[in-house]
Amino acid sequence: MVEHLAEMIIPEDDTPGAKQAGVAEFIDFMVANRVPVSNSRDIRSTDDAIEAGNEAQNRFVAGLDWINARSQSLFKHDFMQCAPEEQNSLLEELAYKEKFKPTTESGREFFQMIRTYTVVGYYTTEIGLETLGDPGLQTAWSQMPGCPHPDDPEHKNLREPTAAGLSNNS
Amino acid sequence: MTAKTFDAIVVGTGAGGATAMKILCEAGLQVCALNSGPRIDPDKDYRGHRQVYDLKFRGYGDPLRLQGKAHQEPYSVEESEYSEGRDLFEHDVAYSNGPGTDWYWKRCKATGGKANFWGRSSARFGDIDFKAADLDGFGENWPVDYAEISPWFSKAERYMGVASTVQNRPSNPDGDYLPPFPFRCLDYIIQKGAEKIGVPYLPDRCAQLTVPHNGHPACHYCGNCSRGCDVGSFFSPTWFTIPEAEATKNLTLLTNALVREVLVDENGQANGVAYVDRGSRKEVEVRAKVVVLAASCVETAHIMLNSKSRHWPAGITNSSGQLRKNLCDHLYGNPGYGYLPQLLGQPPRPDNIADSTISWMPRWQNLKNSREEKFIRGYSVYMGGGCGGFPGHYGQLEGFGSKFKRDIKRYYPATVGALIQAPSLPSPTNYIDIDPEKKDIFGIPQLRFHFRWGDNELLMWEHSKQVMIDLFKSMGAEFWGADDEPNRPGTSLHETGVCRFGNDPKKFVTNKWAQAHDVPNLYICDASIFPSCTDKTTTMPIVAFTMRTCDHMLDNFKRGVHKRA
Repeated sequence: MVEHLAEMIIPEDDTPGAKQAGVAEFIDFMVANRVPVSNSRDIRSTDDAIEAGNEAQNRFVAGLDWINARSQSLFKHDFMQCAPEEQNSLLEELAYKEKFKPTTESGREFFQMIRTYTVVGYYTTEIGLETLGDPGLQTAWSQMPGCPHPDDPEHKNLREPTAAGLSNNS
Repeated sequence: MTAKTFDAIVVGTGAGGATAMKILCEAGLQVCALNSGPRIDPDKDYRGHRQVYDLKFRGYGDPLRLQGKAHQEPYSVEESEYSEGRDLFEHDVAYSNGPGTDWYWKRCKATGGKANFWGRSSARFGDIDFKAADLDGFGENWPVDYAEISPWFSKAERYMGVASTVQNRPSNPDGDYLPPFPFRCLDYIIQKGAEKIGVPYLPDRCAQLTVPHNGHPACHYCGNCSRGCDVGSFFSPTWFTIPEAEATKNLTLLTNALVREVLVDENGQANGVAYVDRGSRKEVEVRAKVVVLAASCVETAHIMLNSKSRHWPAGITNSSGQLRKNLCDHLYGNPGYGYLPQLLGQPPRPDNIADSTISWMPRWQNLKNSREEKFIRGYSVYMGGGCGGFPGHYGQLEGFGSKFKRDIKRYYPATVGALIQAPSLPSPTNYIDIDPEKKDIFGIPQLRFHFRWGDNELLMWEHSKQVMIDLFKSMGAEFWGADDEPNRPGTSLHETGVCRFGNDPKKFVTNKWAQAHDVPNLYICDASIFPSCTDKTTTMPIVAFTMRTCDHMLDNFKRGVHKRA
């Protein structure tokens, strides 16, 4: 279920998704070792870190149960037995402000939590960083290249190549 | 321990201490340097080219690593998994915070200290800083002026290697510079926007080698500077001053030697130090003709306060009563972040391969008239953003799925954020003392902080938030938000004061040469002598003032004021 949720959050499209980057294994490892990855808490000491880690682990496990309970009440199935469009609509309620329901607060918190674990798990892999073209993957440069458009200092005339490329594909 | 008496003892091997020991060793003095932690090993202790995916916890670190230590802080970035995890930062020597104080005291105990990992911004102080009290009537002037210090700044810059441009602003004086870093897309956009609201946006002064310098290689732009340079392409004691001091064969470097107090002779003059050997926990004494304290600002004062004798019941060289007072710090915080729509979806650019500040907004407030603003003096702002590493902006983007993933990439080149550097004013409520009850595990009475941000620096903080709103508008950027509160005091690692220097022995701990008024064979080579904080950083000035202090000290050896051992 974690693997499936992670792949829904960062799917394979023109680049690899969470599954290929091993995100579920990462989440299992971090949750099992009680390593929180969000900085929402003011961690000042090892005791704080342990407490935050325990809390993260408990919330994570409870969150998976919440998703199944929600899925049962909406679709009469556990989440993994639901159709893709049902799964999608369940997550959309938790992900988009305009679809929030007053009763789903703990579900929304869990969604943010697993989304954070997924993003961290994905963009700390070579696969994930390569999709961004992280310049840090190259560890030696002969010089630092500056801005290629100094004749347009306000950068008013740049086109957006990625968006154009993607809209052509869709 | 050896019964040998040294010419000089230097306590601390950071930016100030290691510069002092290099100069004194090269002049032929026999020097004993004491460092409170281990010898740093760049292969083990720096990041090198380790990537985040090489690390078991992907940089978050094993939460249990520090369990059982008496530390008060979680990991700091520099000691995370990116190194081999040796103990480089102080987690054994505890400190206290007085009521209402939330000081974050981060200490690197390895040789070279925090200067292994420093931010490298290296602006000169100017007369607007040295003579601030004349301009606005607050506090004390420095006992020096720009004309006197300028040659020492040049000497420090030429030694360290600082990249920048000539800018002709007396408030931010120009120096001897290596070629600057190039402007990135975001720098041009910010500069144009800043121009429209009357704010300067200029290349910072970066102590980072854009070309080979004094036998040190040029930067290779791996982007990992803040976790130590694997080849020494920016000034650090580890690559510069410590090897040069050792090459003279005049240096005895003691590691894991936690200095507890300065020892005095029958006249109350310094004649050595007592330290605790971390391994054996035994107390050891070492003797010298001259003692240099460079233990990093508040630790220097901590040692002095613990140096009590019949001559110095309130701590060594404290007849003025000023030792431990006038603690200042830079208020840090992010007054505005968002993104530049102009750069959405652009191909990734190597914006952060220099891991450097590249450019900044040097103080522009209260320049023509010291009372233009509601606050006195002024602050500077560093701007950053663009591509590099983890896409921290994901939290600003809603949703999940392919669109979310595309958005993360689309915004990657476009993010922009700020860091304010605002000096606190000296205040009677901001000081350190010795905790009357608590001792650390080595039995040393521990230091206690009393510090709160004052109105002046908080007015600067509010001012900077409004400037960011105006700037984002003028550069066509979208505003995501700003920090609610500034960072905890101590975060900047730029604490100053507590042993401030000046001509009047009744008002100042040390004289204009950073030589203790009461104990002329005791010198201080760190930022504790600075009587005020400025909008600029401290490291390059620490090196410059140390060079000047050592020159004076060597002169005193020549003239017989200090005798050789």
